[in-house]
Amino acid sequence: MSKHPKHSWRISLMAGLLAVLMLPMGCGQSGGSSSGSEPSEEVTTVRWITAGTPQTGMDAVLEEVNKLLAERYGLKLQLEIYDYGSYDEKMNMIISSGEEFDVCFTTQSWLNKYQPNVSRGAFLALDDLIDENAPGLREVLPEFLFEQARVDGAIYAVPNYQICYDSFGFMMRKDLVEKYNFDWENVKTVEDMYPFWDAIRDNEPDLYPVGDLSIQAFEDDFVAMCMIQDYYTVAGSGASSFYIKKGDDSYTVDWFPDVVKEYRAKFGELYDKGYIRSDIITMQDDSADITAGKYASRLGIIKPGGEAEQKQLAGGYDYVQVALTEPFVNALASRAAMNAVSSSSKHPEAAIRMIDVMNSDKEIFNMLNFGIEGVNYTMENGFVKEIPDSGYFFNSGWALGNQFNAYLVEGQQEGVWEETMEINNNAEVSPISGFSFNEEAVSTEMAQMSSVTSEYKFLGVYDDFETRFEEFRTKMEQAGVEKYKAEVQSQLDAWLTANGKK
Amino acid sequence: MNAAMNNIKKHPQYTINIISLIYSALCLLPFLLVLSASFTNEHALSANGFRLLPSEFDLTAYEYIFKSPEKILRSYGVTIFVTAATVAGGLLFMSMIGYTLARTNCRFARPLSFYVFFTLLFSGGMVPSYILMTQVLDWKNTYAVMIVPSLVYAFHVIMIRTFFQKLPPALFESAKIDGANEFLIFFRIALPLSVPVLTTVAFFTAMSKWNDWQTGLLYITQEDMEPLQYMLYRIEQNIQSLLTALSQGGGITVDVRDIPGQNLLMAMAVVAAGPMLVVFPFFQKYFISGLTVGAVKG
Amino acid sequence: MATIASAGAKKKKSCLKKFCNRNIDNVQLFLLALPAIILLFVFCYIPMGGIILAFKKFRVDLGIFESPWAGLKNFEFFFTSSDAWRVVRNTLGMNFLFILFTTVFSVLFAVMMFRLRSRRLVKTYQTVTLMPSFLSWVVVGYMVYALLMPGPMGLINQVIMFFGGEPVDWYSQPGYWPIILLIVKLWHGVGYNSLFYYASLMGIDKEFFEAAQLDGATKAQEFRYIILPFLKPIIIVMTLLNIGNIFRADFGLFFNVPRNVGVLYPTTDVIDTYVYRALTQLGDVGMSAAVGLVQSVVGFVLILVTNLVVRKIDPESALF
Repeated sequence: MSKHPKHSWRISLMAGLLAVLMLPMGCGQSGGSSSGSEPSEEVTTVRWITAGTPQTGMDAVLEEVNKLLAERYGLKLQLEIYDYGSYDEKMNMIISSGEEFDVCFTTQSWLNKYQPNVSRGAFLALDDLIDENAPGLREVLPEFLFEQARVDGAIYAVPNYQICYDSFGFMMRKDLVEKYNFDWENVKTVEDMYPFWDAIRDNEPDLYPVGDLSIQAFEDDFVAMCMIQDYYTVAGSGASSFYIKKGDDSYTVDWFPDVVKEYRAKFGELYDKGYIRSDIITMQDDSADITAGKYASRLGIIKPGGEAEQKQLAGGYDYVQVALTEPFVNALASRAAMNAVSSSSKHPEAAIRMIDVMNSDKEIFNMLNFGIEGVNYTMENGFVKEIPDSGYFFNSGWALGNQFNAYLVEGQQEGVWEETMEINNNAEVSPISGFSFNEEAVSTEMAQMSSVTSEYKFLGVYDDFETRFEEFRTKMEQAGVEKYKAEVQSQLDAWLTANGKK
Repeated sequence: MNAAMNNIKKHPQYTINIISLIYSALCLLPFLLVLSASFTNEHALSANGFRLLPSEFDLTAYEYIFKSPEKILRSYGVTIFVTAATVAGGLLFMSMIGYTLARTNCRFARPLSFYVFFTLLFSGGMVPSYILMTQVLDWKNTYAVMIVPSLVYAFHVIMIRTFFQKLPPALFESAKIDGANEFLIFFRIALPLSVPVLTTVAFFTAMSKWNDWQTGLLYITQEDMEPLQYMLYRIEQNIQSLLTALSQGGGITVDVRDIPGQNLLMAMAVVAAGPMLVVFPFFQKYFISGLTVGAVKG
Repeated sequence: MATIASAGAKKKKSCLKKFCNRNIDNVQLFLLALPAIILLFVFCYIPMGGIILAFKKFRVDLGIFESPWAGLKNFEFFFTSSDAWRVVRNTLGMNFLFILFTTVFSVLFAVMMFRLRSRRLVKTYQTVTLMPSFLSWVVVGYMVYALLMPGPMGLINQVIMFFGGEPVDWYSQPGYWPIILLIVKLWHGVGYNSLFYYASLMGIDKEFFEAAQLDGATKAQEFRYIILPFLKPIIIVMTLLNIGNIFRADFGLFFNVPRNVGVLYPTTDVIDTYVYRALTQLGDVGMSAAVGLVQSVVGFVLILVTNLVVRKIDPESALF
């Protein structure tokens, strides 16, 4: 009997523990978005999520930005920046769960992918929204940007205006070009590079003759450079790309395995000659070698000011560059970086107006990009100079809006934006610009093909290239490449008819 | 051969020590590689590979991590608090249900075991959990989201149950005859007898909580609430993601220089693992000197 | 018995009749289990509703429940794949090796530590062998690469060359990889797993050993007749739990350690890496839910069968 009071004491102890453990936890809630104190009569808050390096001093900058925004447009920006590494997963959760937000960053094939999001209803169609709330957007941005953003006829995101064309070529370290007397200005083909690479291979044991911006992309970029001269890309990416031949009026879609095979074999030839680093298969991250300037030359996109950019990037050496292919605008080039309005947004009109501001209001755009003048950066002879450790220097205009509105940063070339825009406008544009393949009907095939292509990377490197390539071809056929091709063809035909091209 | 066998029989302690020494060396060497890499200059690391001694001594990685020490200390604090709270609460709840499952007089032990076990196999994926946490419970940026969902882990419940099952039933029977109820038996007899297994589970819970980056990734956006491992995870993922961006080519203009060096990755691994290795001997004290049933009975 | 506690229990028992059947012990036991039951219900069972995503064509704007049904479309890509057999074989095979060897080595190491007289040495060995489990797979991946790097840069190759051998190109020979992955897995997990067996051994009544020594039993006999029977239920339960997950591969290990090299896929490609690769471009919630469901169902069936067998042989050790 005497023990019994103790039992109830135990019970109440347990209940108490439970309560102690469970109760206060809900209260740890931060009051982050409690906007009760805002005198917000007309000011609408836009929650904008983008990718980049989070900035510790963001609050101070946003305060300044919001002063201007409220005054000029009656808007308030609630910006959230997530790391590139976590952006995809975070956005996937936010979007899938239907969480409320207004604008997010989206790309064709890198982060928060555009087309899958459109087909799962994550983004709003913007045509009417733009016309009613932000007609100015149509004037500041060229028409082809909107055309390329269309999916089944509707615009679901506003592309950020930046470099749109591809023009493949090589950049070479100037000191080495001079040392070996290489006639770089007259390089027209890949073969023309051989004497230079031979010299590096034989005389500079510490250097690699040629690389790419990332070693893993080297083969795909090389094949793309070869293909771009005679073919237009229609759909897919990397080794599962689909093309039409230039000058082919019947617009026959194919994946041209025989042509691609030839180019991949050629890549293997470069490897066999010792121009490409021998550990290419296992090397995943060669950024340390790039920044140390260990590549004597590099395959890449040739653009105005490219030498200066490469100098900053790769060890501070001077570089020269030469283009092998003409500037060319791919069918979906503008989708590399875009901003979309969420279908969960409560005030899409404000969201589209905010996108408009980022593309047209130079002052606000630059403040968000570089911070506050005198605090985060200084202006020297018209160039932005970062104040180190000041807590804010986003410097990724291409993620926010119109890159060509950005101030020039120290080390950039005067007039670089004008020149780039000029080439953008004069470059050859793909005849099927704006055609966007909807992969929904063949998603099963698509999933299987992407698995196969990553298994058969860097084929040319292996001695038994022939057998491996045939294996690759068989597996692609098993994965349904023909069905995929037929689907591309039928969608393309429908598009051509609709656009009066066939 | 025979002589060797004899040797083993005569000196089992030596044999155990030799085997353990070799095994320990195998565990230690790679760890030293990581440590050395974290003190190596980034370029030297890519040129010379990993060495047991840094080929070019350099503190940049640690300088970078401790650039704002209050931030890293804050993360340590968050992780320690979350870990401690999860261990304390989890241990209580898990041993309570583990005891119930182990009792032979419990009539619903089988269906309940199944109920517990089922959660190990089936899950609804991240999306429904995310909806539950953010929209139903509104737990984004709270400590609750880092603690409460991980209090009960079926695997550990089953471990505890298995241990309780091995306690001699006679112990419980005699307590019953003395008039003790189940609460009393649990707190007075079962708990004290299971210190070794509880310590193990405590340590395992602590370790999984310590290494948990996913909760931080999904539910914590406020910088001063970021757990430590999430920071390591971000460095790892940034490398991956920036490389993907580069391999896409075209319009995306990320800077190669933004890619964190491998030395930073290694330094972060050292910073993240260090404290747990220091804490471990504290746990060890409790299961190394294990209790025996006889000792308690006597 | 007319106290507050039992009176409270009496009131409750009517509503819990089906569980406790007028048995006060069972009410108390149920109360003990209740917090965990609630937590599991909220955080595991409620989100399980998401399993239906496997049969849906998920649309964000409609939500999980309003999204249109997709039938078995989401399952198609995995089952019609020409690689399905290969990844299933690798997943099952490697997991089987992992379960077998991890258990054997963990138990052996735990027993060795149990036998070791010096407490100081036990502490040291345990701490050191625990170190690998603190390293994330990404870091382990880099480290294994440092060891196996092709050509004279790799540390293992340096050792081979020191003894006059030819350097091996590890990353182009799929044949080596089951062994390499097994070693890495054991290296990463044995120290950690043995802790649990060690802690269990601490529960052995020392009287057994005293009695055995009086009877002149050898160490081997002690191991055979005292230690092993004592550990049997734990080993069985751990194995059962592992079997439930045999269709799930350790993604971190299989993704980071073989460095995603295509030539190695014949031995290193498992379900989880395959799905990751296939869906990374598509990001389809439904398709990944479908594969997850298949993995769960297979594990579930396997575990039901094994549990049934265990129940027949040794009812005490059965999981449920």
